[in-house]
Amino acid sequence: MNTLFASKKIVILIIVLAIIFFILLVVALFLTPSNKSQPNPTTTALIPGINPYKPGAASKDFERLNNPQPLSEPDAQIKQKFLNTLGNKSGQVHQTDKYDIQYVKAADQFMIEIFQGDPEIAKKETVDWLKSQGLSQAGVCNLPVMFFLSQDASTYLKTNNKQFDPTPPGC
Amino acid sequence: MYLEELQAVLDAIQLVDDYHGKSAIKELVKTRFVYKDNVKPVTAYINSLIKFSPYFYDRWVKTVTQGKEMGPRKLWSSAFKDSFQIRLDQFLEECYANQPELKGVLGHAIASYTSSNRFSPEQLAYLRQIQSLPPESQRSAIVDYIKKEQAKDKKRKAEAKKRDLALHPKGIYGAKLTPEELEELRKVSVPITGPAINKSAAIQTREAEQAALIQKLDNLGQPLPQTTHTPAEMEVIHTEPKSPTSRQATMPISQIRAQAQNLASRGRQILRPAGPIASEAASRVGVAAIRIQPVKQVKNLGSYFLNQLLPGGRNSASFFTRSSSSIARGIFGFAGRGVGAAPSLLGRSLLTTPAGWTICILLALVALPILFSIFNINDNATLCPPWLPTCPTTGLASTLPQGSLILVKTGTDKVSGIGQDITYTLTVTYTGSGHADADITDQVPAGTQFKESVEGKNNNGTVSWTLTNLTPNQPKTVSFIVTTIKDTFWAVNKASATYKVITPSIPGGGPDLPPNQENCAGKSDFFPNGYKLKPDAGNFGDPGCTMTRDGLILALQKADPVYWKYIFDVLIPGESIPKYNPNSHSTQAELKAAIGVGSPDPDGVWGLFSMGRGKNGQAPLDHGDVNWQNQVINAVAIKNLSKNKANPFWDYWQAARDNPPPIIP
Repeated sequence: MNTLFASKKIVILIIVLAIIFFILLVVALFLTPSNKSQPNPTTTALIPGINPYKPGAASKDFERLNNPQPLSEPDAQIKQKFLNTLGNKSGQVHQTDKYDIQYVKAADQFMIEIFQGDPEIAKKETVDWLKSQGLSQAGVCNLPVMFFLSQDASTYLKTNNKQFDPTPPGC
Repeated sequence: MYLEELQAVLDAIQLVDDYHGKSAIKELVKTRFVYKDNVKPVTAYINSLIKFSPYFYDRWVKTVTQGKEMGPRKLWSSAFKDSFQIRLDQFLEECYANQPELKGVLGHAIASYTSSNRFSPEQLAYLRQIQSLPPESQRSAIVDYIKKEQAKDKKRKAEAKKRDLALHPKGIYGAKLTPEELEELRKVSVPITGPAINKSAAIQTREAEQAALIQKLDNLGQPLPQTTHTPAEMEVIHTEPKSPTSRQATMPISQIRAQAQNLASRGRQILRPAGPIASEAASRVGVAAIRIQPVKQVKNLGSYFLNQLLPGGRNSASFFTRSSSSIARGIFGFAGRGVGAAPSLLGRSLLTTPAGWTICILLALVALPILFSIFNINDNATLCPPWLPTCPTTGLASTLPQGSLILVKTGTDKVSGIGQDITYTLTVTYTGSGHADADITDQVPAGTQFKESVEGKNNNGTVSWTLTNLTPNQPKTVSFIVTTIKDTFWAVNKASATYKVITPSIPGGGPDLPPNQENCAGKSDFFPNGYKLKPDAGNFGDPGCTMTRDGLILALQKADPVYWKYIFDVLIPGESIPKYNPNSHSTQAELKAAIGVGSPDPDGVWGLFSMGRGKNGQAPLDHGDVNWQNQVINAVAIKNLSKNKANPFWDYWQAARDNPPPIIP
C-alpha cells in the first residue's frame, strides 16, 4: 500500500477527489432540511413558583375536589338553597372583607378567594359561616369548597414567610 | 499496522481516566460536541454500536432519534440537540443492560474495532488479556505493546524496502513500465467465473475466527427479520480492479502474463505473484489485494420482484440473506442502512477514513452508471451509507417525519411478474395541536404504471391527495395501485407532505392574531378596536370581556378533556397573580420582591399560566397580546409537546412540579 501512495499522480488525484467530496459535503449540508420550527420546551426558562403554596398540598386537596362524596340530605338541601338564590347559575354566594364565595356551575364547586390577612383565619371564618348556614363539616368538604389566594394574600404569606394549604379546615 | 486502532483504545482509556465513563460524553456535550481528535473514539464507539447490532440500531432509532434515522453527529446538530445528553444516557443504559460486556471503554473499543475486523486474532487476545488487568495497569500495558509494535513495524519496513530495491534496479517507488509493457499488461484479462480462491490455512483460520466473532456479536442483538429472497434468485457479478499494483509493476511483463494465465486456469480472483509468497513485503501486498474485494452487483433472476422500499436496513436485511459472506454484507450495506449486517472491514473503513471516502467516490463513479444501465434504477435513487449528509432524508426514509406530521409508506412485499399490481399505502398522522390540512404527494415508481387511486389524483406520474381537518394522533390512510411493466426495479420512497395548522374555534371566542403593536393603538383582525396593554393594566387578555370562570372551564374542557379540572383547580391558581385573570402580570422586580426570584423574561410573566413569550420570545404563549382563549390553547399545547402521551410536559410549570397531577388512565 505504501507504494500506491508514493505515486505523485495518485496523491494529486486523491487531493482533487477530496476537494470534490468536500464541495459535495458542503452542498449537502446546505440542502439538509433543519428541524427548528418546534419550540423546544426543554430549554424554555422555567418560571419559579410565584405563589406560596405548600408543595404537595394542592395535589392532596385536588383529590377531594375531584372525588367529592355525596352530600347528606340536609347538606344537599342547604346547597340547593344557595343555588336557588342564584337562579341555578354561577354567581356570588357571600362576601366579607376577608373572603368571597362564588359558585361556579361548570365545575359545580364553590370557589373562595381569600382577600387579605392570614389565610388560615379567613379559611376558618369561611367554614364557620358555611356551618352557620346549616352545613355539616362533611358538607363543607364535599360541597365542595375550593380556596385560592388574592395577590394581597399571597404577598402577606410571602412577607411572613408562610405557605398556603388550600385544604379547608377539618377536611 | 494497527497502531491507529491501538492509539484509539488508548485515547478512550484516557477519556475514562479523565471523565469517568459516561461523564466523558456529558463533558463533550458541554463543550458543544466539537469534533476534535479526542472525540473520535467516543463517536466511533457510538456509531459502531449502532451498526454493530440490529438491536442497538433499533433502540437508537426508537430511544434517541425518535424515529429519525440519524447518527450521533447529525443528532447533535439537529432539533434534538438540547436533549442530546438525556437521550444518549437512556441509550447507553439500555445497551449496558443488554450487554454488560460493553461496560468499560476498553470493552467498547474492542467491540467497536472487532466488528470491523481491524484487529488480528493475536492482538485481540492480547487486548483481552489487558482487559483482565486492573484499570490502572491497562494504560501502561498498552503503551508498552504499542512501542513493541512500532519497533517491529519499523524493522519490517526497512527489510521490505531493502528487498524491493534489490528486486528492481529503478527501485520499487520509481518503477515505470514502457508504453508497450503497459499495453501488454492491459491485455491481461482474468475470467471471473470459477471456484473461490484456495486461501492459505492462515487466512482461512483468521476469517473463520472473524466470522465466529461477528456471529457472536450479532447474536447479542435480537433476531433479524426473516429473509424474503434467496441467493438463488440473484446472480453475483464480480468486477476486478484493472490497474496493476506497483508491486506487480516491478515484475517483468512476461512474468505477470504467466501469472495471469495461471490464475485464469485456476479461476482465481486476485492478481498477485504466483508461487509461494517469498517475502514479507509480497505477503503484505497480497493481503492488501485480498482485502480490497471486487465490486459486487446483484441482478434479480428470480420470479419475484425485489420490491422493498428504500431505504432502511430492512431492505438489505431482506434483500440479502444472512448466510452471505461478511464481505458481501459489508458491501451491500451501502445500499441500505445496514440493520441486518455488521459491516465488514471494507464497508467500515470506507466510512471512516479519508482514503476510504476517496475509494467510495471512485467506486461510485464507476459503479453507478453500470447499475443504472443494468438494473434500470430509478434516476433519483440514492445509494449511500447511512447518515452521510449527501443522502437526502426525504428520499430515504420510509417513515417521514415533517414537523408535526408523520408520513409512513408501505407497499406490497413482492409480486410474481409483469402485469401484477402493487398497492402503496400512505398513513398520515398529525401530532400537533388543533387540527391541520395536509397535501400529500407521491411518485409512481419507474418500472410501473399508475393503475388507480380512489382518493388521489394522478398527474403524469405524480399522485396527490388533499386531506382536511386532520385530528391529532388520528391516522388517515390513502393508497394507490401501480402495475409492473418491467421485471426488475427498485422502488424509492418519494412520498412527501406539507401541512397547515388550523386554529380551532372554542366557545366564547375565536382565532386571533397578535396586534400590530404593543400599545393602546395596537389592533388585530379579531379585535379591530385595539388592545389595552401593559403598563396600562388594561383588558388585553380579555378585550371582548368574554371571560367568565364557566367559560374558562368550557375552554379547558374543550382543549384538554382529561386534565381540565386539574388545570383549573391547581395549575392556574398556582401560577398566576391575580388568579383566574387573563390580564395577570408581574414584572421582574415585582416577582423579585415577592418571592425573591425574578422572571427570566425581562418583561415579566403574563396571563393565566405565566408563560409569557415562550422560548426566546418567539411564541406569544400568554404574552400581553394573546386573548384568554388562546392562552388556554397554548398552555395545553405546551403540555402536549411531550410526545409521550402518558407523561405530558407538566414540569414546565413550578406549580405542577410542586403539586403533580393525578395519574389518569
